[in-house]
Amino acid sequence: MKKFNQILLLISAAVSYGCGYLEPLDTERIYSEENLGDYPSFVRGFLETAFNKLPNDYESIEYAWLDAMCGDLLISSESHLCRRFSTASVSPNEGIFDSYWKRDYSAMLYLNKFLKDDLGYRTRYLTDAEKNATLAAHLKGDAFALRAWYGYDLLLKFSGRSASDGKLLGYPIMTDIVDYATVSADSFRRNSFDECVAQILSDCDSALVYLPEANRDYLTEDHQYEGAVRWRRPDATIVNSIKALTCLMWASPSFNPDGDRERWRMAAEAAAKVIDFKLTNDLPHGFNPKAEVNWFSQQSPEAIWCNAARVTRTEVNMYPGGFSGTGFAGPTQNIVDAFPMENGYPISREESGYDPENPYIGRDRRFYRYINYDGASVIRPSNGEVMYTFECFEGGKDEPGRIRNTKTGYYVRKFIHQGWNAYDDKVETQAKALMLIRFREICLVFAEAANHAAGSPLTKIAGYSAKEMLSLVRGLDADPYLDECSSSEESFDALVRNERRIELFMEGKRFHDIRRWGDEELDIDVFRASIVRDGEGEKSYSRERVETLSYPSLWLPLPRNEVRKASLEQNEGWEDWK
Amino acid sequence: MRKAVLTYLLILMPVFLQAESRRLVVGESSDTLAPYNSGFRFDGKLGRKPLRTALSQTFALKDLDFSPNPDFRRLYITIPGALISESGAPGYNAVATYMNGNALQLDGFLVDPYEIHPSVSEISEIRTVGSIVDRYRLGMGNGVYVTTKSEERDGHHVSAGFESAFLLAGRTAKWCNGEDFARMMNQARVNAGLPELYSEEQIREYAKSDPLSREFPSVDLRSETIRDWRTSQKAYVSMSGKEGRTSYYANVNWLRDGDNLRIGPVSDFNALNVRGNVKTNFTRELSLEVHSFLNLRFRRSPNAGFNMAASVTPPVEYPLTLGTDEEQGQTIYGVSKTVPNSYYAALMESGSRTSKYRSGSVNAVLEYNFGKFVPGLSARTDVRFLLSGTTTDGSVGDYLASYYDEVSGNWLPSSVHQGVKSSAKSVLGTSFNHLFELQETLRYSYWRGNHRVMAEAWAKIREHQYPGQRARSATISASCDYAWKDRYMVQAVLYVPGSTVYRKSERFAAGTACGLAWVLSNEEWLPAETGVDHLKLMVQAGFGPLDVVSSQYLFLDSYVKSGSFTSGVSSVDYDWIAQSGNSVSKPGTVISRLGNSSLGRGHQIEANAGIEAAFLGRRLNFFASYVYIHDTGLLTDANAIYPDFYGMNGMTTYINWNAKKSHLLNVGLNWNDRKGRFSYGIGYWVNRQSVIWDKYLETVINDYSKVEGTYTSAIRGYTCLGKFASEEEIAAAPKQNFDVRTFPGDLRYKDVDGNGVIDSNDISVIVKDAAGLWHNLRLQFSYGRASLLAIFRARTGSTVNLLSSGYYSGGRGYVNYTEWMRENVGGDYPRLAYEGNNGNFVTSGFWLRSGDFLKLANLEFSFSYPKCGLRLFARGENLFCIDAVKDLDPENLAAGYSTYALNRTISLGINIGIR
Repeated sequence: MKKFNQILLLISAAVSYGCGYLEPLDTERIYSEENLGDYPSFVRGFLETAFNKLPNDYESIEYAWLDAMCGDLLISSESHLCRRFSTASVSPNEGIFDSYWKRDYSAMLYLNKFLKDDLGYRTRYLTDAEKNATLAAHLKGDAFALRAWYGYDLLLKFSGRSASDGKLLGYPIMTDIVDYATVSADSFRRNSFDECVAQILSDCDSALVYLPEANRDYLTEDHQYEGAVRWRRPDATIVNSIKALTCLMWASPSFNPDGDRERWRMAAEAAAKVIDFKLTNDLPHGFNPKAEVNWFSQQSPEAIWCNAARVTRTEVNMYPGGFSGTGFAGPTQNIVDAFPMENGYPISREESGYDPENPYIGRDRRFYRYINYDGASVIRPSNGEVMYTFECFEGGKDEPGRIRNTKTGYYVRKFIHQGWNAYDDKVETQAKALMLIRFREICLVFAEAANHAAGSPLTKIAGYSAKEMLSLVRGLDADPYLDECSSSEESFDALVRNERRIELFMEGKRFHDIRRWGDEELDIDVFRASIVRDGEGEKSYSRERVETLSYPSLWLPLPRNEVRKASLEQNEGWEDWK
Repeated sequence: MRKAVLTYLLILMPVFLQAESRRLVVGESSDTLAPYNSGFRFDGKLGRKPLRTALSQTFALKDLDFSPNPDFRRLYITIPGALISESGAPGYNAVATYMNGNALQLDGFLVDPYEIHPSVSEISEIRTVGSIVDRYRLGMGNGVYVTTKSEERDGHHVSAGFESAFLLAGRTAKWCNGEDFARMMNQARVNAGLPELYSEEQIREYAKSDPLSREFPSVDLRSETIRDWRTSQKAYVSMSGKEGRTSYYANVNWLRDGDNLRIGPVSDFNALNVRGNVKTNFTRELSLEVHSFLNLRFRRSPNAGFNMAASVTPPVEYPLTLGTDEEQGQTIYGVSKTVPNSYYAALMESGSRTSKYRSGSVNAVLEYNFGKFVPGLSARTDVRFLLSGTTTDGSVGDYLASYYDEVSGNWLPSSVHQGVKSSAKSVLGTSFNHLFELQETLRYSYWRGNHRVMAEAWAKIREHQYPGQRARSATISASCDYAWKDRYMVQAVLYVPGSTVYRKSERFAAGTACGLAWVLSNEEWLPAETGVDHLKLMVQAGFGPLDVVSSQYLFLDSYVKSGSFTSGVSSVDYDWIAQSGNSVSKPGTVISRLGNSSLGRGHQIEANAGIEAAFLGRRLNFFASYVYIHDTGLLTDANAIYPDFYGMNGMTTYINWNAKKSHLLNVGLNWNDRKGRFSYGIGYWVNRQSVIWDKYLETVINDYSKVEGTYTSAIRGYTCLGKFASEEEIAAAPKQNFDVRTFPGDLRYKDVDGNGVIDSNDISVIVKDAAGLWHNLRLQFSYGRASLLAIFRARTGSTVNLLSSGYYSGGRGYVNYTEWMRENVGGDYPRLAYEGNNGNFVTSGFWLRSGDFLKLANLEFSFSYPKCGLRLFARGENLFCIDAVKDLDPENLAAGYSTYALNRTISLGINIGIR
């Protein structure tokens, strides 16, 4: 028996050692919900992660390639998803906007975690109580502003009329963390468009309580936590811009079935606040509203909200094979025809002086800055050396259709650093900044909104008139065409629309514009330049159709997995996407 | 839990009875058969063999002997239900599975099939584990466990052998040359509405096939870089012996395998295994065994690797070389703007690396027989230790290249490849792995009259460390076997595994299994004249935990610092914001995992049944077994059903959800006989495995899209209705959303959900089960000293998808075409087009082929002279393959296209044994 007892003891000792034996090593600190409160940098990290999700490259589907979807740009590869989407040849599992839905909601989760129960506001980041209070307030304002921005992004992309009953719907509003284990996905629904707008505006108003007027050093004395050190983070000018953009969309005909002019007024007033600040405060400090846009610095005066500048592959993508590029996408004859002449008149008017035999002479200054055409040159800025001349006529080295050329006979010049030359020993590269919101864009918002709010472009709202602001964008000292169009709301509106088209080329605005105006055709033909050079060197210019766009409706489809998992309402025209 | 275990152990405590103490090690067959009789044999007499209530065979090599020195891989595949899949790569390239388990152990060490020394005189037993009772009793997964024998008679024995093999690549991909490529590319461009690229004059020049021509190069990259054969050698020396109480066994074997690269640095594979076993009986009660195993593997290879698919570069793109740079004496290679890299140049100049794997392991077994105090009781202690590490070192370099620039008309130096000379050797990577196990076993056996009882209990702790993790486990198992008159047998086992990866309350779990067997042939009422020598029916059932979690803390949240956001201005470009730079960077927090406090083990239920029979003087042997396994609670990411608007995209949330049902069926037949000096044997087995998703986390709208309820080997795709014949047909048919335009000659698909549009909602199951059945046929003849062995492998009822290989599915864009594409344009290769042709390359019945094949896996002819222990043999492996996919191997469609081709091998060898 004694032996048995001993053996039993041994066994139980072995077993209890065994249980302790299996304790895992705490080799890596596991940070989780339980110990989060001990680490202020983790709490702040939620907000910073939401910042990191902001877009940072113009060459993406939500920016430049959106112009390909409305015929101003043509992507050379027929298999590219954008090209197929714009000709109604994609499958529900190829939702090209799905990644933005995921990104926006993922950012909202982090923001909601930061804002829930004032977690971010209550956390102690700094030892100095007063500075900590300022910092915590600013971070809370940041969180609201970002949530408004991501909400606006969702609204811009996914709002539309429901396929089943035609109601104007937005997106499912998420202001809290979902208890995924207990809640059923079917209990969520898309909120109405108006509800979404109300939520965005409410977030903007909450942000305005906590944010400074602008992130400028000259507005504050403590430069350690306030002022320019917060550049890239929201401030009141940015929040007002978001308000202006949201109200602009809300007021547009597609989403404003009753034609409520109050909405236009709200947009105009919010935009006016931003313009007023820039012209009154920034102007004396070096902001020149007439200067050319500098895409290469994140401190460009044009910027209202800017992301960090980074080196991109734009030059390689946009140049033709002859200049070591790949000709990924090219501007079309459609956008080229939209540029007016340098006296401001559109090319359809006699007064413009447009010569169909020499279509590239005497055009608007922005034409020469945005587009490379047949005969254009790339000139090195440092010494004026001509590095490349484009030959887009049939038989020329940059003709449409060659392997690494565009299919349109035009090449992109906007965003490109003119000193880039792949043949150099040391290739010059230039970082580019993405301007989430820029000054001239807000001027155009104001021009459109004030025109509709007051019924005339000449009436002043908050001290500015629509005509003044449009004149600022057009940049001409004498502008007879503008005067002519300012006589009526409709003609001014048409001029504003065209200005938006050319000023904001490749900034992802036109596609959304056409959809919110609702009265222009989306299913258009896309043309390329057809330049034939005869024996004597005389060129004749014409256009050839190269693609026909086709959309089932004005709206974009919701990701089909969302429709499937949560029975959300799909947008009109996309009933198959489920 | 602890109480239950202790009670169980108490119950098993032996009553004091007289019993003979036995050391129950692996058994020997009580039959002595003449050599060269083939196949497995069943024996109703238990003798000293352990009980079996399931079809886990224990083969003594005398039972299974078919040629004294087969390559172990070939021996392995004749085990019913054992499958090997090999690639053509140099070195250890075989993956062995048995009944879904991949354990392959030699003397307790996990080994590769190449490391098991093939000589039959060294192996005493092969044991297969394929049922739940055995897994719980041994604490190991399904697999094959091999033991080397220990000498029984005094004396020493030395044997040595050498084998040299010539490996010829089997089916390989063939590519177009410059002229064919140019013609096809022109056609592809025209079909896509684009201008042609090459003029007739250019094509005529390409036809000259000059790889060094600057103006009209035409390069056959494959034949320049790769050759279709290599050689391989093996050698071994082993010694074994016994003197007094100590017996030993030592073996050194070496394998060298070349490589198929024609150019570039030395590339080969060398492996050296050294094994030593020593066994000493100190006293009648105490014995010690020490097994040690050292394994070294060196692989030398170029940094550019083996890339057969490099031929996808158009052959007319650039010449191979442009000459030599006068200043530095380096070769200048050709590249182009479109294709800035050259595989040929990379092989020659990018340097090489040597990857060294070293491992050493030791097992020590101490066994004490308590026969003096408690007859039948013995205790055993096992200690196992393994340490392995990999170091890769090498030198990195680059090549000097130039590309042709049309604008200037010159060859300009490439900015990407500037001929950086190879660096000195440096370490490119390391990793380590160490494993420690300690096991304590108590055994009791009692054998008297008609009763036979064996009880066993063991406890084991194990620690496994590798970079970033330390995993520990503790396991207890207790089992009891009983047999009455060798006729009726019962086995029962309780199994308690514990692991660190689960949360505290889930660490330990319990499983139990029970088996019954009935040896009909030992019944008195079965007359002897029926010719039934052995008939045994077996059945087992059990349930227990399923280990689904492999890494630590999956049940907890995981918040990590990732990325950072910088605000402010670091330097001042404009002073309207600030006068001086001031920026701040803060890290972001990313939630990578959301915890689930109820995450735990899965659950497994297994039931199996088997029959073994031997007839006609045990010349005819038959077996059949069926295993049913139901695994539930598999690790599943619940995000599959959470919508993205929760914001949890990118965060994993694990739950135990998915479930599978597996059915495995093995049937085999074996006949052998001898007439005088001539003996022959035929063996055949067939294996079928089907696995069905019993439960699957998904949200679907159409029932036919469901994964739940379908086979895991099901193939999903579109239903192809043929090809469009005309534009009218295209206009009348549902719109196909694969490309902007659809042309006559494109494939036409069925609108399964009937909404007028062909999109991903029309994907359904088109092949229920693509896995098929595996067959193995063994034929053996021997006459006197000569013997012939042939092994056939076959698979039937299977389907392969040609789209999985670029050999069939490429050819779109600026790429080279394969010979198959050239031969089949318009037929099996739909419309040739430069772009806009994606709709023809989605999975549908059009691209499926039967994956059935019949291969001659082994054909061996040998002569032996047993008196002087000499054996000469000639062997051919994978000599031919009969199948429906003729261009590539249906077993592996990537072989010969992007990876090494499967090889046909011819080898000659010699073995000598001296006593």
